Amino acid sequence: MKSRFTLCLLTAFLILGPAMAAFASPAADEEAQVQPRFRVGFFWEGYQLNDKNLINFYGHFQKNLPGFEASVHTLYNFDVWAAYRAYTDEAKTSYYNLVDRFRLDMFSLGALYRLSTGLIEPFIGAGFEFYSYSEKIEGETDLQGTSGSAIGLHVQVGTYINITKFLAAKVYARFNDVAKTLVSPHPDNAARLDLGSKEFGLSLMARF
Amino acid sequence: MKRAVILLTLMAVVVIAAGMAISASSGTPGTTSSQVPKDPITETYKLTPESSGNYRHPAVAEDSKGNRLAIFRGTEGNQYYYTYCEKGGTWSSPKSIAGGSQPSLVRSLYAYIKVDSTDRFHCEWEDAGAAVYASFKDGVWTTPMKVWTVGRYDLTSALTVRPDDTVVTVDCEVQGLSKDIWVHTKGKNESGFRAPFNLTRDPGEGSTQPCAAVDSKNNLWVAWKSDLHLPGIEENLVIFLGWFYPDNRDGDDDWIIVSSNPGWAFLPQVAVNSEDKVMAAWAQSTSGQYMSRLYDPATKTLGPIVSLNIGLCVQPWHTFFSKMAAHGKDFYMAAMSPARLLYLLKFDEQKSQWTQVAQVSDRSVEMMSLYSGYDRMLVAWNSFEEPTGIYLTTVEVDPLIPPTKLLTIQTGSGGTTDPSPGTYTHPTGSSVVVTAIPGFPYAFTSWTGNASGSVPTITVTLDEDKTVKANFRYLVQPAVNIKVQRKVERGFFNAIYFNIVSWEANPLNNAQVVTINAQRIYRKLRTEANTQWARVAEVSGTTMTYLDRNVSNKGLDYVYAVSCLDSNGNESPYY
Repeated sequence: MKSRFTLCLLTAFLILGPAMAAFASPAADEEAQVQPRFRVGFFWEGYQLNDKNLINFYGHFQKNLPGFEASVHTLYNFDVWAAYRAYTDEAKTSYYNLVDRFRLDMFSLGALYRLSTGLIEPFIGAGFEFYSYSEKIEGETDLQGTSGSAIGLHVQVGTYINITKFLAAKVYARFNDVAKTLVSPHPDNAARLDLGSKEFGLSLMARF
Repeated sequence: MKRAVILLTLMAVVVIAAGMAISASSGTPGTTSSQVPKDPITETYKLTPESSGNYRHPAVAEDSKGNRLAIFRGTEGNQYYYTYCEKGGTWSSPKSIAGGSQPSLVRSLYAYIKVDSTDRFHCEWEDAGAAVYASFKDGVWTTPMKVWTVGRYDLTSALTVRPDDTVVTVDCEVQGLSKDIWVHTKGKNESGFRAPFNLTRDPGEGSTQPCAAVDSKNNLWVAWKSDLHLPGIEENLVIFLGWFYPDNRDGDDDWIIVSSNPGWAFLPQVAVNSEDKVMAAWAQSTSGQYMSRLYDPATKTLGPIVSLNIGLCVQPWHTFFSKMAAHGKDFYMAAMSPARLLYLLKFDEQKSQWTQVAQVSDRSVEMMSLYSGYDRMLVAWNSFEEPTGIYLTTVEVDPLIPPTKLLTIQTGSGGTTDPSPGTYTHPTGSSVVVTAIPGFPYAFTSWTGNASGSVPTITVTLDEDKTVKANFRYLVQPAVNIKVQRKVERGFFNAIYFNIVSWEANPLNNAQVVTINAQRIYRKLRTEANTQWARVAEVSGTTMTYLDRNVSNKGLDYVYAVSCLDSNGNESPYY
């Protein structure tokens, strides 16, 4: 718990520190005129769930997800980065075979540190994960749907490949740690809902 | 009047002479006393306190429980008194019957008590105007009432009780020059006597001094004295014996003259034994003896006239008093000797003779009453010398062979009884406990026949032949082969659990062709006690499955039971 708190502080420092510095430092403005400050793109990634119960119930260990992301250069080699993607899956209820839909909306906010070497810009980053999840059962049933939210952290590593001055690609790997304790244990008798995941993706981004 | 005095004088002379002859030939009265192996007298108890007044004319009886009642005329001479002794207790102090609320007596003579099948004491005592009747049970007297008469009442009367508990009294009533024997009956639950009926209807003859007894068929046997006119005989007093149906119709046989004819016979007694043989006895003044004669109605055989051989009490006036009672198949008589000593005698049918059982009194006696108890004869008597007192002497005799009744126990299908169904013989009045025992799968419902109610164990009192039947009903049975499939309808976050319960119809219900109208599903946790069964649903009689959605926790292990309800709404057990 203590280490998780420390990680939160560190992440906040990484994100907020460069952002504040970007607005405060005239040098950053000068540099920004040389390099594009913003990146906006979409990605396609392999998304791997951590929660074995989710995997067992919905039957998928991994799904490919599209998503959107954007970042802004702040100070030195720091970017503030955000992304959104949605994970959906479905299964059938155990007796009446009703459709059970699961949706996980994931929003990420974090900081990246890039090594500006020209064509290749490796980076590492960390930040927060804001998740909203829901389960809906279609059809007449006494079985109740569920919705909720969870907050967690991520760390990521990857590299930008600057194709042109205005276009870049990106490969990355991200590790999310998002979990919550359910008020009522779910039918597998587990009270911990692990929404954490591993993401491996490729992104195409516009730079400006 | 003059002729009567002459006749009485002549009779007295004859009787005294006969008595002296007997005394001369056989010593003192009761010469058969040497045949008595031991003194059978249990006790002689004085029922009345020392008094300057005279208690007279007693009667005594004992009910089936051994409680005894004695009645007698009080010292003031116009009321009857009673004293009562519960079995094992002591005699109460004499009290006026019904607190003195009774017809005032002018003159009394005989008194009777008979006990019916319910142990009610029926009492009659005589007044110059009519017989007075009252009954007593459990310490309570009915209000004494005069028995309804048509003509002028003429001492003496008699009372008996039929096996059906009808009270019967006979008396002599005079209408003009006619003296007849009249009968009065009071049914078991009737409050008063019906209109008198003239039994003899012989205007040409003077019929009087009746005595009555009943046989097992409720027929009434009456012995009475009649002045039978014969040519050339100025006065011919004979004893008639006749029988009458319960509705007072004449019996099928002619009346029988049991005494010698011609003769002078007085004050007859009659009794019927357990074999329905009839004994008549009377005082034969011409021979100075009490005489008797046995009649067997079954064979219409009239036995010889048999003397009691104790002489006849004639002094100081013609007090030919005697009393007779049947005890089982035996006949007993209490009679006074010429010395006024009271003897108890028993009739030996084989030898056709009377045998002295006991000398009841050691002093002069005026009047007596004889009652047959279970194993003793009760002789109530009053002393002759004034002031007179009432005494009760009990004489040990052979116990009665208790009469028996049949108890037939039957059952409907589905059970048995304890004792087992069948016909049993038990002493009359005895109580038998019978228990209905249902078999599987039946339940006891009720008793029918001579019993009622729905309590399995009853007590049958055999005051008559009785039949009881235990009835059972099929007990609808629960469903069988109950199976439970535990199911879950789950999403990821939530699940609902339910059990699918299925069962089969009970083959016993099918075999009995029982219509099952509904079935009830009961549920409890496996670990709970049977008291925790809770009804969760009711389904039709043909449904064989039930989906129990209300299973709240997957970890709970429920067990189920299914009861069946028949068309009468009777529910089977379910566990």
